[in-house]
This record gives sequence, C-alpha cells and structure tokens, in this order.
Amino acid sequence: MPWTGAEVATDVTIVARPIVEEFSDPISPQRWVKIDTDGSILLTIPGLVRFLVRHGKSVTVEILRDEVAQGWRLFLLGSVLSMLCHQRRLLPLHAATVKIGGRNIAIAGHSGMGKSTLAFSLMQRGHGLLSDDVTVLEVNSAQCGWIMPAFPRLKLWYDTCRALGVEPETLPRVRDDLPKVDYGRSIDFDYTPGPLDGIVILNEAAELKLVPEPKSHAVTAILGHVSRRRIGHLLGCDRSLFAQAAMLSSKVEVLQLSRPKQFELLPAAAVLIEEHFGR
Amino acid sequence: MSGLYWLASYPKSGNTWVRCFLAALSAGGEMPDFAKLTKTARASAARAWIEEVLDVPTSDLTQDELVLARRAMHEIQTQTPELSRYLKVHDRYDPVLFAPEITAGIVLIVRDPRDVAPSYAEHMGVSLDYAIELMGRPGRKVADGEDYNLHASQIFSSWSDHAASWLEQSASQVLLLHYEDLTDRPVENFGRLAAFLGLKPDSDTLRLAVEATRFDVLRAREDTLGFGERPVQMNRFFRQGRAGAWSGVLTESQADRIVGDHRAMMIRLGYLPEG
Repeated sequence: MPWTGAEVATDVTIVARPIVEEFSDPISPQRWVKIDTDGSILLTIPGLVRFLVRHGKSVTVEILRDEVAQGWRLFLLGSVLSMLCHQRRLLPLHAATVKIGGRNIAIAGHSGMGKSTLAFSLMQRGHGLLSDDVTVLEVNSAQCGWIMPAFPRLKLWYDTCRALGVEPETLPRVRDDLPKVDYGRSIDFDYTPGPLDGIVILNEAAELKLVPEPKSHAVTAILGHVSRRRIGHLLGCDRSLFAQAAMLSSKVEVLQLSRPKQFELLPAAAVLIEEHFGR
Repeated sequence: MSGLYWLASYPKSGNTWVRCFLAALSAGGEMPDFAKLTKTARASAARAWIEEVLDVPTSDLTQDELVLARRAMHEIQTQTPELSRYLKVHDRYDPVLFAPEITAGIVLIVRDPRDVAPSYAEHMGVSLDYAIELMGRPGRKVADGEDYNLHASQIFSSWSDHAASWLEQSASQVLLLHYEDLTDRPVENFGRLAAFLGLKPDSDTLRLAVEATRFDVLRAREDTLGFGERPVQMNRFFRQGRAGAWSGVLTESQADRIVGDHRAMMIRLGYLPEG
C-alpha cells in the first residue's frame, strides 16, 4: 500500500525470528494471550504462529507452520493490529468502513453479524471500501474520529461469495483449511484517511430496520464494539476508551441496523443505509 | 483448580430448562432475566464465549484450532473462580474436550427421541422426516459448512451414539436425568441435580426454583419478554414441554423409524420395554 503520511521515521517494526522472551510474572497468564506487567503481549495460535507485541512499536513474528495461504497474516492484521492500537491509545473499532455518498460509515458488529458481507454488498453498489474487520480511529482533542488508512482486504465466507455472485474458488483462501477467501486484491481500495461520519451497528432481528441508537446507549454500544476490548482493559485503557467512545458518540451518528441474516435482504439493507447517509 | 460440570444433552432434551433451574436456584429461587442465563452456563461451542475467554478471533481459526481453543477455554474456566463451573454441551463425549482432569461431573439429560424429533424439526426449520433422519445419522457433525456459524463444529453423532458416548465413558461420574422425570417429579429430580452439583439449597429455595422454572411459567415469560436464544425460524423456544406428546404428532411410520433407529438405547434408557 502507498504511504500517505509525511516523511517520518519507522513507526512499527515487524521482525520475523524465534521468540525466546518469557514473561516472568504476567498479569494475564493464559496460554493464547499473555500480557506482561509492562504491557507487552504474547499471542500464540498453537501450531501456527506466535507474536510478541511491544510498546505499540514492535512486533516479533515466529511462524510455526507455513500454509500456502500464509494464514498467520490474518492474526498480524487483526488481533496484533488491535493490540498495537491499545498500546498506542488508538481506538480499534470492530468494523468495516465504507464511503457512502462521500461520508465514511463504519459497519460495526460482533463476529458473524455480517460486517464484511454488508460492506461487500455496498461495494457492489459502487461504494468504496476503507477497511475490513478492524477500523483504526484516532480520537483525541485534535481528531474526533479520524480513520487511519488500512489495507486492501475483504474476508468472505464461501457461502457469501456464492450468494453475491462471486465464485470463491477463483480467489485466494485466507487459511488453507477454511472456506473463506480474500476479495481484497480484486477491489479498488480507498486508502484515503478521513473523518468518521457514522457508525452502523449490526444486530440480528426478525424485521429489517435502521434506527438511531439512543444517546444514552451510544457510548456503551461503541465500547461493546472495540476490537479486543478485554486486552485494552488489561492494558489499563478503560478510561481512555470510555473518553474516546464518549467523544465519538457526541460527534458521530450511531445507528442500529437490525435485520434477519438473509442474503436476499442485503440490497434492502444497503438501500436503508444509502437513503440515510445519501448516495 | 476446580473442575467443570458438563450439562450434556442431545439438542431439545431439556438443557435450557436445566440452565433456567440452576439460574433460579443461584438467585435464591427466583427466575432471573433470560439474558442472565449466560452467567449460569454458556455453550462450550459458542464462538462468542470462546472469544470472550481467550481474546482471539475465532472466525480465522480452523476447526482443528477451534478444538484446541475450546479446550484452552475450558481450562481457563476451571482456573477462574468468577466464571461459572457449568457448561452446556451438545457434542458427544470427547476425551480431549471434556477430559477428566478438568471435569467435576457430567449431567446427562436424556429425552424420549420421539419427543425430541418434533421439537428438533421446528428448532432447525426442517421437516419432521428430515429431523428423524439426522437423529439417526452416526458421526453427524454440525456447524462445519461453508458459512460462518455462531458455534464451533461439533460432533453430535446419532441420538443413540450421543447418549452411549457419555454413558460409556468411565473417567468421570455421571448423573443421568430423564426429561420425563423432571416433568413428573420435578422437586425430587431437580433436587438430585442440585445434590450432584454439590449445591445444598434448603427445601424452600429448591421448591421456589422449581416453581419459577415450571414450563408454563417459562413459556409465559417468553411470550411477554421474548427469549434471546430462540432461533429465528421457531415461533417460540419453550413449546409444549410435555412428555409423551409425540403420540399426537408423529405418524406411525415416523414413530416406527425412530424406534428402529434407536431401539437398543431406548430400551436401555427405559423408553421401550425390553424384549
């Protein structure tokens, strides 16, 4: 991806080597995600990859098994990215972001709620994609919800591809043993950083509707969609995350999109979003 | 470290009812909000729960890695006192996932397969004949397709194999609960459950918890407040709750097919006379 910022020193260093470091007295000792007292994080996906994430600036990668799909990269660009954000006090929103009518709208939702699917459906209708799965936001006194540029990726399950007219076998898998592909290389990705204009939170319900999130719930709703929030909590980010969510909720429209999870209703859901935010 | 209790059952056999009872018991005999059922017992295969405990995105894990993740999640649960010691399980017994070193006990809830079938068909939104076919399919695996499923893949196997797998493991102690006994003699049998789990409710609390989770009470509550775990294709989660209702629902050939598929286990569990 092209670098869009000013000429600056290296921001994050990623090095591949065996990880020999041990955490002597981790605050979170579980085997998959260990967190040390200095905020360093060791992420292990057994048999696949280990990452050591430090100070929001350095990532060490130890690849334990090579896959054709190089599936370890999913965790670098997902969990590790979120960990770096928490270490740097950036807000990683569990959302895909789409540019609709010139406005940047984050489609947030818990796993399986159809973020990428709806983003893909919106893309098929001519809207640009800014991020998939994790949307990194700068939220501070200077920037209230500035989307940082991401990378061209859109993870789609096989059934989604088929329902939306794409043959999954023609696309690279994200893992050798997972029926899920990356559509990102096939799209005209939007690398432009910009302000966040709206958050649409996905929910499953019997009826399709798009309604504003009550102001009293908006902060909680945003906090509920912070990527790897518990890690943020263990790193002492609760206050900053709350402040960021409060700032966001006061500046950015937060809506709930309730819908039955049926592919045939995707166009109707997309129209609701387009009508609200403008084409 | 304390072990976990597996609330094991084939689907639609009373697992949620048992979880409601345990929730009510822990609330002093009052049925709490349905939303709080998750505090009592999560589903071992629920991706949301695995992610909450492990802090990893499960949608990028292969099914083999998900087995490791579930096992790790179970271990963490044994080591974290603030987490519940009960987990809902529809898998057949698996010595890795439900290893004796992380097990305090197994509660196996069984129900006449002729009553399971109509409920299961509605739960999945399929025909009764197809539900009966699935219940008879050995080694049946679910949530293993080309789509994202809210649950990790699980091997249910057939209704008979499912029950046999839990009954025939000898590493951990098992409390066998018949759905029909819970409906016929609830205080006695929910009391057995409480005792097995090491709970010592006084008789008033036990009676209150049983009353608060009577099927008609749960059903009325669902009518008023809804039930978040209801699949969208079901009109209601708490349907009839009656034992023996199958006789008015199944055709003779459907009932015969179930008996044909599961005769030995039905005899073993007392759903058919011997001989």
